[in-house]
Amino acid sequence: MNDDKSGLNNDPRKTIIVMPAFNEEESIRHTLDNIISQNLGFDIVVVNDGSRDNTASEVLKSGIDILNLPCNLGYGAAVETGFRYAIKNGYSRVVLMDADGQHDPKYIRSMADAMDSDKFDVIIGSRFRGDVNYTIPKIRKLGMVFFRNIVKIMTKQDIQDVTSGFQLLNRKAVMFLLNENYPSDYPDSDVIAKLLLVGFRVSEVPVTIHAREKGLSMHSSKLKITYYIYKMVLSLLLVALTYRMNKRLQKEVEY
Amino acid sequence: MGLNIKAEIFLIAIAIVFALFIFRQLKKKKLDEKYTILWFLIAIIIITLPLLSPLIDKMAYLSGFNYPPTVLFVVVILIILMIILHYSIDLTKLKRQNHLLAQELAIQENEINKLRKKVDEHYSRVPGG
Repeated sequence: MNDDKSGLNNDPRKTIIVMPAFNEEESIRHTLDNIISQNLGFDIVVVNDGSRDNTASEVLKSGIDILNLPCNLGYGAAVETGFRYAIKNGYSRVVLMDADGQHDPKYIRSMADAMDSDKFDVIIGSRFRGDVNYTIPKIRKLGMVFFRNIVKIMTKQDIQDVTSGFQLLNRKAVMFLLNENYPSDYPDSDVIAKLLLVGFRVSEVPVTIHAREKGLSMHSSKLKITYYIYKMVLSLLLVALTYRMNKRLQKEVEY
Repeated sequence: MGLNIKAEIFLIAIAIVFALFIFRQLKKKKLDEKYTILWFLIAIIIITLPLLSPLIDKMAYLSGFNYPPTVLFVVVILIILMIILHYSIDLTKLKRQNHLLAQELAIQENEINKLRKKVDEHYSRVPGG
């Protein structure tokens, strides 16, 4: 992928942290304070995905920018909202991280450095390359390995953590995802596979994940897990059929 | 599959009630003109059902169904499934548009709040402004 002509890519001031939040009143203040204390000099925007608790007022107390969705649209659609906001306001990079405090902001710097030094388009904060501070449930781990291998077969690239919600993306990658109908629920391995097949450069940086602080997990009930697996297999298949490791497509997608 | 006069009257009555109901919904603006086409068409099919019976018999013969009404049911079920599929597609489109609207709304609200804050700050700095 070519460099952005505007040269915005190298301006660290134009990085924004996008944080989707749904009913996170108990942990969001702490998560935000944690980021602020890192003095990264990045802007932060919380996407309040129709929370029914006091998430919005907790965010306002921190003095952080907020995008209030009028109803709950789902994680992917909340991320998409943050992407739209970032593009509209001319940001050159987007950091995606969870509101529950799982993702430690101290790794943002090393992720940004990795992007700078090797000209990557997307950096994933990888749980498998770092120390895992909590035990991943066995079934979940099995799923992660399964999808990692599917992505590996599809793209011939071994991304260890294809389901991480801790990501750094450049403007080009964000714009591509916005044009491609970002999945409204559970965007993870299918998005990574799509980015790789189109020719974006994706890499990983090891991060330590903390156990969830409070609140509900994204993947909880059996029904949801079943739907997740079904949806992911289907959309990976769709990605594979659409972008059959086709080099020709790489030239078409240039922003 | 012959239908007697009684059955025909019954079908016509159903079709008329059905058509009137659709018309009422249209009048009350509960139904888009676009969607009435389909439902009026269905009313017409109900009325013409007796006329269609030789055709159904022929279709049954050609497709190897021993019992002609089966053909009628299969055709009707397929049409209904197609209508439902059409609605699923419509629903997906509406969901996408809905998401986009909600997202844009959130972004606009954020912008308005920022502008409002700026305006307030401006007026608080200018005495008597």
